[in-house]
Amino acid sequence: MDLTINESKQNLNTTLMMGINEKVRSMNKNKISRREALSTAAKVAIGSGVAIVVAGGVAAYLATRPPQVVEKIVTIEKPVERTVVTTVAGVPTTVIETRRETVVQTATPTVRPKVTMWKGPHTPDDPGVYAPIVQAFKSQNPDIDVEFVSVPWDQLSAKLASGVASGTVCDVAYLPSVWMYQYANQGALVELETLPNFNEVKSQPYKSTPWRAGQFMGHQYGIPYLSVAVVVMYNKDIFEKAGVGQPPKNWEELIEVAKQIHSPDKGIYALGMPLGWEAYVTHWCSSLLYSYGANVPLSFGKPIPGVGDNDMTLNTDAGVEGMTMMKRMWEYSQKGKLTRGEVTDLFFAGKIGMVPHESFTVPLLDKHPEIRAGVFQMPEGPVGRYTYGESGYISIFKQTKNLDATWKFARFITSRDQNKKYLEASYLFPARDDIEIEEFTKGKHADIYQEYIKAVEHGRYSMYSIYGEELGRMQDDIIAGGADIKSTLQRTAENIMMIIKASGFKL
Amino acid sequence: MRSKFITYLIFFGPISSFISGLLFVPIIANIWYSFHRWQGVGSEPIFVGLENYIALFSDSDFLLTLFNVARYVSFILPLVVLVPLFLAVTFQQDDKWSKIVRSVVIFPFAFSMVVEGVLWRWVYQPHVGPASLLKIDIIGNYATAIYGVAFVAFWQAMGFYMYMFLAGIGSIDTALYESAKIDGASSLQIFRYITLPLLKPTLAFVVTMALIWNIQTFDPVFVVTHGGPGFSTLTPVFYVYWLAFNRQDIGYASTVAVILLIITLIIASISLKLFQRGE
Repeated sequence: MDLTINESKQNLNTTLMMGINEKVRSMNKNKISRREALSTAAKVAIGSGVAIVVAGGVAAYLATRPPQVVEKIVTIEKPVERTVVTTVAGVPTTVIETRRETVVQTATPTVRPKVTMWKGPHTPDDPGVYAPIVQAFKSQNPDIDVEFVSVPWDQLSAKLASGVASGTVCDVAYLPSVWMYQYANQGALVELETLPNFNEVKSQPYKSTPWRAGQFMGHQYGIPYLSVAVVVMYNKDIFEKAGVGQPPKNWEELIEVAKQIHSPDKGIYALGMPLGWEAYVTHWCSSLLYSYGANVPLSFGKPIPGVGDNDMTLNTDAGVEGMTMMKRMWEYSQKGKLTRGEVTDLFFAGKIGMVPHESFTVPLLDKHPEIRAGVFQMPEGPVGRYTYGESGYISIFKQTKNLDATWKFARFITSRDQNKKYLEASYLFPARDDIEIEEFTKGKHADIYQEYIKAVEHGRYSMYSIYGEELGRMQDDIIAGGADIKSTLQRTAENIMMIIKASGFKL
Repeated sequence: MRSKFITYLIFFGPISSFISGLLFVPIIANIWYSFHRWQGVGSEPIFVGLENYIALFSDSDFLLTLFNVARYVSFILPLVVLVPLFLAVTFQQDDKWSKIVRSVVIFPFAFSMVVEGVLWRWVYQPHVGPASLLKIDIIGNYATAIYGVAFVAFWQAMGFYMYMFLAGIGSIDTALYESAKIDGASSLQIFRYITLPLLKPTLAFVVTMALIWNIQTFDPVFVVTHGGPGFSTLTPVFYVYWLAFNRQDIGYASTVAVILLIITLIIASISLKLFQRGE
């Protein structure tokens, strides 16, 4: 058959078109509806979600399950002595026969006891400071292994919590007082008075306040390791210019001195008063309230006469009087919502006359030689003198599998000589009377440090970690917000009781 | 069908896992925890049914946070719409000064709120900062602190919103402007009858996003005032954080988060509906 060129082209086009149409038809067959696509996508999404949850659950279980103790079954040979009764010539005779026999027994592999300690750092090189302490312990106790783990503070809280929950916590830890109370309340810590040689520890010359504050609900949960206290730092030049001779001894005197030195027109403020919750715990408010007899439950350390550690007396006349005094103090303070750091900056800029400080502020005096600073004890109130206090404790977790070794290690590191080694490196205050740190007794700022050491005995420790924000809010509302004192104290007391209850503390 | 499933698994699997893992699972877990009393790691969640939800409606602190955030949003919303819109319209050209102004305005958006918050704390300091010259105490005052925080958030986000408006303006056909000019329309008339109506989708986006972001504000409050003085700048999201990490009340914090999610969704939906109706 003859075809013209045009006919050939047409045939070719037709064939191509047929091929394309076939392809399109074939593709249409494979095409899926939108409903089908969404349905499949949803199934994949749900499947993936379920898979993630299951995988996460399995991973969490594997990560948190307690370590398995593997027992080995061993076959050993041992000589056995046994008495056999035989008959010799018809007469029963007893002979002793020794023979070897093979016995099968279950045995736990012998493991050297190991003590693990977790601690947040107080020095730039805590492992380095602890190395000779651990070495000294091991030389006295070669059969005990020790692992000292320095955990950054921002991770330690979560590490301890997850460790307690999962059964993988360390044997012994350094715990700030507030953490110790929390874990004691959870029943996670060993009651130390139940351990042998506890009286030996108790008989050591510990300062009474840190020792007492190591107790919770009648049990001793920690051995004091170091202490923190707050005193009032004042600017001697500002005092002298205003003709003030002696620092104030009580709150009324503090107001009198404040009146004399307060001169906002010249940029001089008598008192440095930060706002917010952190201000409550380490600055004026808690010291003032305790000294008026206004207590919040779960406060420890120096007792308030006639008031129990778990009594709520904030919403009483004592609280009203205390906060009235606080409000009077605010009249002679700098204004603005300043943090502790910002108030400290103003003090070292020579603008503030008096401000409470923890001891870590003392080295700043060397950076500001133009400021002549002195310190005085927190003023006394109607029921006594109090200050913000805190101690660090060595506590043992009940989960330890080597209680004897751990207790031995805890006693060793809290012994006078070993405790001193750490305190010398950290510049923190001892919780016992028989440790003298040269820097604090003979150093450049020895007189200032001695006031801090004296203040340790006035310390009262509160569970600010759970209700501190509430107290800070109360302080702000009353002094800066102009709120009614009585009703604000009542609201705060109710909120605190609710928080304590919700936190699982049984008073 | 099997090959199709495998195809979908390959294409949808990773993103579905990502979304499920990071979005849906936490939301579902959050709702689950909202029916429990839970102190966090180390304690067991206890089922309490609707107890947290009932407590929430009589919680004066939660109501206070809603009041605070209402003041915050009502202050910042007009600012983040009007000021960036004005800047975008004024500095939309490609001349040197417009470029400089646009660069300066976007500058704060490039920095972390933590850095800027610290800077603004110093600005607001009534004793040594610039505010001391004016003898005003903005963030130490219960009445003004929330506005001080809102201004910091506005200052940071202003450049972002300006660029949103610039993108919207850039998508308008220039022929409309040219014909309006030929017809003798003034600049104000051009803005009123061309730019503004055609920017409605951008406006809807800006208003809705500004509402969602600012109802959920946290970082400027955390850095500048930490919720204080008192609770005068405590916002709902900060309250969630405060409940969870200060009171260790994860269950109740989850309840607040669920209610906040619902409130945000309702407000964002209303905003979008209003703009859709306008179209």
